[in-house]
Amino acid sequence: MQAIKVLEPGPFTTVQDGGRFGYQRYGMAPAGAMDEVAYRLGNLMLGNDANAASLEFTLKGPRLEILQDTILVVTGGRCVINVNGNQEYSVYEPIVVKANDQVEIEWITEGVRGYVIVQGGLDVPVVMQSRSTYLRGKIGGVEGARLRGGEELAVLEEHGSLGRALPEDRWPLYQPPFVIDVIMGPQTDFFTEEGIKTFLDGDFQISEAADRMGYRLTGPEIMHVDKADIISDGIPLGAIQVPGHRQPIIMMKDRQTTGGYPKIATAASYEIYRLGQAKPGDGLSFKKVTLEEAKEKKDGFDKWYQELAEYVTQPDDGKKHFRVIVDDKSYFVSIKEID
Amino acid sequence: MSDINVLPAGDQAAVLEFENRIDPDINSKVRAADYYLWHGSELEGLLETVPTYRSLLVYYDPVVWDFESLKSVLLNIEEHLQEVAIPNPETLEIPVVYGGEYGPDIDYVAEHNNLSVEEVIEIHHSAAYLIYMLGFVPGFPYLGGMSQQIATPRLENPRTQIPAGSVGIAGSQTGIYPLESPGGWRLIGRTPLKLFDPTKDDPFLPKPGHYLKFYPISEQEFKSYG
Repeated sequence: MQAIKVLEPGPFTTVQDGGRFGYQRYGMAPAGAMDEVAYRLGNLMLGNDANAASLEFTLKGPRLEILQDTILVVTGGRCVINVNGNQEYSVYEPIVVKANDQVEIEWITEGVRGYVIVQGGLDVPVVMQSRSTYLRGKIGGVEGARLRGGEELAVLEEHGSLGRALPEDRWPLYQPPFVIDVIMGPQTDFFTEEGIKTFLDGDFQISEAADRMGYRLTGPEIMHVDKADIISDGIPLGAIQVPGHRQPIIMMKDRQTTGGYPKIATAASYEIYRLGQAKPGDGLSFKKVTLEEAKEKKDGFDKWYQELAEYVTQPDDGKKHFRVIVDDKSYFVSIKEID
Repeated sequence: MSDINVLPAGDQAAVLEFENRIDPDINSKVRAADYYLWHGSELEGLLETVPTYRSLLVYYDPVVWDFESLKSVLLNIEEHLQEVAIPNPETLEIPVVYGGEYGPDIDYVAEHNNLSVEEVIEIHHSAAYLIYMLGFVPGFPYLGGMSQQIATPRLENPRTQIPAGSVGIAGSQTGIYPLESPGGWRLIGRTPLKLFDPTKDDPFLPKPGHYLKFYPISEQEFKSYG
């Protein structure tokens, strides 16, 4: 049964799930949701498998026509969701929609990527164990491509019970400038002492060349000792390459799996979701952490995520949630009836 | 003990490096280490490995491993390679229709090297090429072992659209385009085989560490494939 029709896809929208693993040895990037925190929380909130397929949109969300009664939620970058032109909803808030409803997702005002999650999860064909679109491989999602408009998408019927909205004070933040923890290596020794200092002290900016493959940064030049190439090796998620142009490139989910540029450092695993919300023009700098520090911070991150995950999976306690604007500031208000 | 090194690649991956050269013997160590990890070691918490020319990227589960403990295992890996029988590399046979509309640059390659087209084909298909690694796009094999006799520089202006299966030469390398894509290789032929077919249980024909050989077929044979 088709559940939603994409009337307008927005600037760049693809189907993504948790990713396609086990094929990097054959040159195939894992793809998958760039902001896994927002993506997973949305699925958990609707009672979906945490890895269910969603629409990942960039800058602005799609305009949808609802084909069957269902529940959806938008998570990730801040935006307003408009239903039938007269009802406004926020992100991280389950929205009950009926057949023939029109849903318009506005421009993102903080962050850059959002997720439209429908109860059950999108039922596009599973290709090599995943529904994620991988554009370079022309597989997954809808015919391996970005949405063009006109697609009718089905959902899986099975799902768990509905959870509850996440209050605004608990939404993940994506405010630039970003300070990103990095673990030095694997090829830090390809850079001069001065080059490493420039990398760690410099203020960088995300350039227009930023997509699901990677982000090219602009900023001070990072000097190599000698050559700017290595015998090609594997590129881990979050690797920061510095080619001969001396500007860093952060490698993201659709990255090439191998490459010949030296990698000065690698972003810590718990930074990837925030990087997924960084956009061209945002300021960015790097902070060196040891593996021990990274472990400690990863534990803190896991705890934070677990608490959010537990919160959104709880059934609603009868409270009603409102977005209230007072003096141009937006508030998320929960009200419970006490007879 | 040979030159071996383990480096951190973030907090969930490590790189095992062998000697810093492109060499079939070193690549076979990469293949052996990779094979041992998956088929001999019984280690838990390894998520994915990426074998390349002279190194192996190992993604690990940080709940099971920390870098230092994985490093000590990987540093001693050569002592354990005897514990598992590593199968001999296989040779993948790739049919190619050479020249004509399938290989529009074959005349240039012949002229450039003062050879006849027949000699180019003979030299190209008589060698067995080591698949050092896969990368660039899904299923793209980095092949070693092409004769310098047919080495030819890339096109100055890359083509915007090259059909999937195209076989080309770039400098002293030969390769196959698994997907339709832009590129600057000199095209000498095309294979009807799909190097990458996501609908198959085993979607990739070339495997890292194995060998690949071309054999010539006619245009008619090309057209009779699937």
